[in-house]
Amino acid sequence: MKHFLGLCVLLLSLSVAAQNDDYKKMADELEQRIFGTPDTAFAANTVPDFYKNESAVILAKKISLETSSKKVGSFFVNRSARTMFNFLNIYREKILLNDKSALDEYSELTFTELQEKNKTIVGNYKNYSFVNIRLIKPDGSVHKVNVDEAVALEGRNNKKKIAIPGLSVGDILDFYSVKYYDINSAAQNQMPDESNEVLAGDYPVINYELSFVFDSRFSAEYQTINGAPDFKVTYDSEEESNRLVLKARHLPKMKDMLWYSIPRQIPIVRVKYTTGSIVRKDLPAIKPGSVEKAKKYENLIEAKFGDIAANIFTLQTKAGSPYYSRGFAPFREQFRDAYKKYKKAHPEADNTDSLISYLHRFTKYTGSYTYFDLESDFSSPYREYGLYHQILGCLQFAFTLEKEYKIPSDIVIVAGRNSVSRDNLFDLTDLSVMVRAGSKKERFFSYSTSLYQENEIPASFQGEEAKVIYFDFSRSNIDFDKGRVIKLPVSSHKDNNKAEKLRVKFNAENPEQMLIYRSQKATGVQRREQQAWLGLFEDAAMEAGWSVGENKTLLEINDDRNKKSRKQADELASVIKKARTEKKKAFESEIESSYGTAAKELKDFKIVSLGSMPGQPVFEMEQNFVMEGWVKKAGNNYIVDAGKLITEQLELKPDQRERKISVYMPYPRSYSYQIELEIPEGFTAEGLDKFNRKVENVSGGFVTTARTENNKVLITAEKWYTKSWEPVENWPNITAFIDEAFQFTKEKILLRKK
Amino acid sequence: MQRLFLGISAAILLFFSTSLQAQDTDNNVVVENKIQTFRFQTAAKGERVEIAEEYDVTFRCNDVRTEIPFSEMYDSTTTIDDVTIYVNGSKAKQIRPRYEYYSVESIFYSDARICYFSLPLEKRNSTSRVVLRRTHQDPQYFTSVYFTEPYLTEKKTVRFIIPIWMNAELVEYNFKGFDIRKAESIENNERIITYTLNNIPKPVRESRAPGSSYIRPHILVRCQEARPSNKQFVYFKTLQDQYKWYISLVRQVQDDQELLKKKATELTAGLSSDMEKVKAIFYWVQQHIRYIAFEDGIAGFRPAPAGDVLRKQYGDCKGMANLTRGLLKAIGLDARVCWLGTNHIAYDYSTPSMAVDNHMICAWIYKGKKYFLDATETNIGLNEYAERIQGRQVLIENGDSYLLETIPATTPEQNVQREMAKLHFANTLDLKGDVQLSFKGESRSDLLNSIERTKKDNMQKSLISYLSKSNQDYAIENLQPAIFNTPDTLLNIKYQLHFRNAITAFDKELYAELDFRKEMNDFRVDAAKRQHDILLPYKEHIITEIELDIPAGYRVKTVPDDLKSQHTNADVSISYQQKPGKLIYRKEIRIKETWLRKADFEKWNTFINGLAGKYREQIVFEKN
Repeated sequence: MKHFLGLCVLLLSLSVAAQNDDYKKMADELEQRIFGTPDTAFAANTVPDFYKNESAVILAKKISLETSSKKVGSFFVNRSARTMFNFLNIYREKILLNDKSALDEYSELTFTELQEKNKTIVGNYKNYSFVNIRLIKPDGSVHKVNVDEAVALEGRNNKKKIAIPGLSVGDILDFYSVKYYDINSAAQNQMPDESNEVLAGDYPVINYELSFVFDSRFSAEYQTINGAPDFKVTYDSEEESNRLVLKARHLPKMKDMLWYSIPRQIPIVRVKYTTGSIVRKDLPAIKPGSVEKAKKYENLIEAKFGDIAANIFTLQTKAGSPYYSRGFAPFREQFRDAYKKYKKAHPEADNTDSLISYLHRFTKYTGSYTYFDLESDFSSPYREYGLYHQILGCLQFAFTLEKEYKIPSDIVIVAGRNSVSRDNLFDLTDLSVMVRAGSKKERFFSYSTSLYQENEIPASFQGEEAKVIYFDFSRSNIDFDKGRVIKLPVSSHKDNNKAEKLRVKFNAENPEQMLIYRSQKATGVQRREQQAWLGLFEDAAMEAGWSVGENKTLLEINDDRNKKSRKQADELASVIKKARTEKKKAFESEIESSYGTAAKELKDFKIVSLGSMPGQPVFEMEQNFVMEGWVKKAGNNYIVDAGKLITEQLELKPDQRERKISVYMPYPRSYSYQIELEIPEGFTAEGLDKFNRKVENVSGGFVTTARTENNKVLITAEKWYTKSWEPVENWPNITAFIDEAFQFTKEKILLRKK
Repeated sequence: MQRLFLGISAAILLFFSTSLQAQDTDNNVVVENKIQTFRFQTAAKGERVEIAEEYDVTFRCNDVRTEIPFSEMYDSTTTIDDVTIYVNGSKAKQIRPRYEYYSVESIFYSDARICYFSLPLEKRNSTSRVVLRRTHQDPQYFTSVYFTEPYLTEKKTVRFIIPIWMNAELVEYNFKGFDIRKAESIENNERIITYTLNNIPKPVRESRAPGSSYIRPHILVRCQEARPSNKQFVYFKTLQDQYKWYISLVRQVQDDQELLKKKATELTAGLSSDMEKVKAIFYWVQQHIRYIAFEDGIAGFRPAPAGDVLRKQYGDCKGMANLTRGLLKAIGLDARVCWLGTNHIAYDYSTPSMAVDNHMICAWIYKGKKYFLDATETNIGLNEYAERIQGRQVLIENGDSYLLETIPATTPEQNVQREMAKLHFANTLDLKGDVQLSFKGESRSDLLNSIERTKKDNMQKSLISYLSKSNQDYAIENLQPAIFNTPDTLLNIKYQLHFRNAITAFDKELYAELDFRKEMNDFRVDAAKRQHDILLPYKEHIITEIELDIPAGYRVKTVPDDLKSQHTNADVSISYQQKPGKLIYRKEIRIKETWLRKADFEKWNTFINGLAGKYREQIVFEKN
């Protein structure tokens, strides 16, 4: 099971000093409760026949969190500190180890040993952890593992390590880890508040149980999606607590599948809880002592997201805020001056759409390419931005347009295919953001990475439902009632294209070597991938500067900063130069990755166009390299692996052919190849008929042609994936052209001696 | 063994240095100067001898300011007494060294500890300095001083101050090619040996390179005896001294003889010959005792009691050797523990020292012959020896004295991979037929080790993937389950092959290359870049014989010329023989020497190019 937050499997915890009585008592009680009490889920020691070939099978797994609370302290203690909350996390797993690989994985456990106890005016704090392990041999005998045999890893925060004694293939390992801790109500920020479980993992699970006990001071809300079973919620009036129990049987292991989405396709359970109420805009609060299953309330989550955006905006614009001096107002002035200057040089830019474009470029330039120091990565122009910076970028863009030029724009809130669907929004981190602007409000602007040009929508957002809202900068407010849902435009496979042209000759001195000139043009997502891989920060920074009328080099920008920066100029020059010198390795690895074979020699390479200037969204590069091993001697003739010239093609594994879930691919895309292969003097080319192929359907295609002309073999190939998402019914369509392309790479041409 | 740890820790330090190298290929940081002194002195009121080490190292930044990880190791016999850090000439009190457990991936637990901190070099041409004092509390464990640093070392002085009452021999290794000068004097009844080094390059880490003791300049310190005042301390003056200490540790182990007898009897029930019994016990230990390395102080040299190893079902090499010996002795066989250094170590027992060995195995003496049993080699047979121990000196337990012998050297014939195939044309594209493969010795264990690392639900797939080199056209059908757990037998694998698209057809001709595996096809060495010799995994004899039925209506038009090629490390022969209706392809590769020397790289590449070129050459069949 994957725990991407909350409870953690092997973060087991235990005792540094001699065990105190209280700890010992609790350890005994836990052992009696967990190992000493019959539990039907953990009763079986055998697995059904259909699991017999598994490396390991989890017979049972239980994860629980139990909370309780009590009044502490005296009248003199601050009211906010008068409650002590107790948390008990229990993780238990019983696993059958069927082979050496699984045995090795489970033969050593590392855990943290904690036995801390403090008395304070607001009550006693305990922070205990317990680990207990036992082996069940195939004959049914049970052997308790002496955890005291663990060795301490000095200086590693109470970490210990144990090699499980007596463990053999065929054994069952039954173990639990428990963490108990107290948190005072005054330390709200230290309290756990969520648990997320993905109900799939490396091994199949026969019995699975996830449970929570929330006492009357807790409120909780949960979500079960993508086919996850529901919790059974009961109220224990004696304990005044809510008990949530979710049970599942026969959870399959997560296979090594191609093109799938965990947030959209794998069962997930998410639980939020807090002391006090869970407040929800336009919905009744969930009060302490209550538990609710989340409804479909995407508007509510989006509104919360809007509140966060409003807070960020306030911090940037409110006098007295620590961010104010470097916030939106100074930027607005900086931009005003820059745009005036730019318009003088480019009178044609004096219109709304040009202004908007310029603003986007300016924010990218100032935000991505003028902040650097000696620690920066100069080997790539790629910079990725987290959610906070994305919101900041979008608001700065929209604010400047509105306040300086009275041009309204929209904020676009979207989950994207790397997140849950809009129907399943549950948490703020499910969302991302863009801006929509333009004279017709038709263009989108993303701040996810440094490489997005105007009107480029991140591939994972395309085709998704998004909420478009208007941010009222005068009132720092968003009127969500006026927001509306749109479907974001999608790019076509032609927009995300990689086009290769190859001119291939045979080395006259060694005909078994191919001399290859390759030029490549990439657009859309493929452009950004190549930019990130093969581009240099310095080149991208210069182009970004030119696009806004700046001509300063990185060193000049550095010199403009301050005396301290100027003192580093020589070192900065070295770092920038080194990044350029070492770029050859990236080109070499790109060839190896593309063709599945390293070039014998990369003779030269250059980027013709980085594709970051406005109006030139095409990455273009050229190179010359030598490839060996693709030409084979056959008597006086030669056989040429010409199919390999279209770069390595995906080969489906047998397991990947059968598919039961829809297909989540990164983006619609296309590839095209034009290959000129020079026929050496005194030879003829044969076998071109196998290079003419055609598979075309609604999901994509692979179409090739081949002919000879002027002593050259001319091959063309096109491959495309029409959409980023396909229903499972279309999987055979996709496999049809994938297979065809893979088979093509095996085709050969015969160069026959005349 | 503790020495294994020492060897590994040196490798780890080297790793430290190489991970830096990745960022520092242009000598951005250099050691400007290091002055290091080792002084032998008495301690604990003359009750023992220790070595006080002090060094003062200055790092300089040549180009771009940076922070470098500084580390020093210590363990249960060494202490770090003081560390003073200077940055740009000023004492950097804010930098506090951390002291903690040091984990090494292949070792479950050791007494290795690391003192480390991040040392800033504040700007170009700035220097930072570390002055460190460390005490080696037992001369027996003070075995080597390496001269290389993680960076290019412009100047270094290493001084040994050895009172005349201390008999310590300094043995020099790998000085050739380095600027190292030695001066020796006697002052105040002390021998002062000073090594002055200039421009010592930083070590380069390369895969399959010989161990550090073969390639890095260093001193093997042989502490033999000390006679301060009226005392006498004998360390390892002779091999007998070393053996005496080793055997005393073995004798401290209290093995439960009843338990061993019971287990050995159970394992050998129904077996009559000694050979069968030894195999039963040896293979049981191999398969049922997990190897887990412990290197904890004295426990790093003393085997764990056999009863503990039996109960826990894991142990290190000493625990496994002692258990094997105990089980064999329990049924009346002559079994001994043995110490040896694997081929990772440059020394042998001619220089008695704890640095010379790093491994323990068991020997069974039978009719005057010694069978060496290394149960840490999970899938190797009796009387077969892994490359890392074959040909190595071995110190064999023999009462109060010892036997010094050599593990038998292996030949390629110990490790045979044989493939016999009878194929025919299924059509003009595909080949079909029966294939038999057999693996012996290290070829066998190599295959099994890789199969065992895979999960069971993929085990069949993994074997197929291994045999087919993940080529889905090489379809394996009716794979007969191999018997994996009898290490002294051939591992036989049989299957029916449907090799799709094996043939390329053009007009009236069919083109075929019959060798599917093409062993060593890409094994060229980048002779310009590679700095160290290469250790090939093991000696091996690969035999491939493919009998192909000539398709009806076709005749053989062209067959490649035969190939016979020899190199210091390997021989290869490939032949094509035509018989009525058949073509027989036969290949033999004999890797006869595993140490591939740098001087032979160019010839090696020529040898490989010849083989790879031959692999690519096609057989041509023509329609009648």
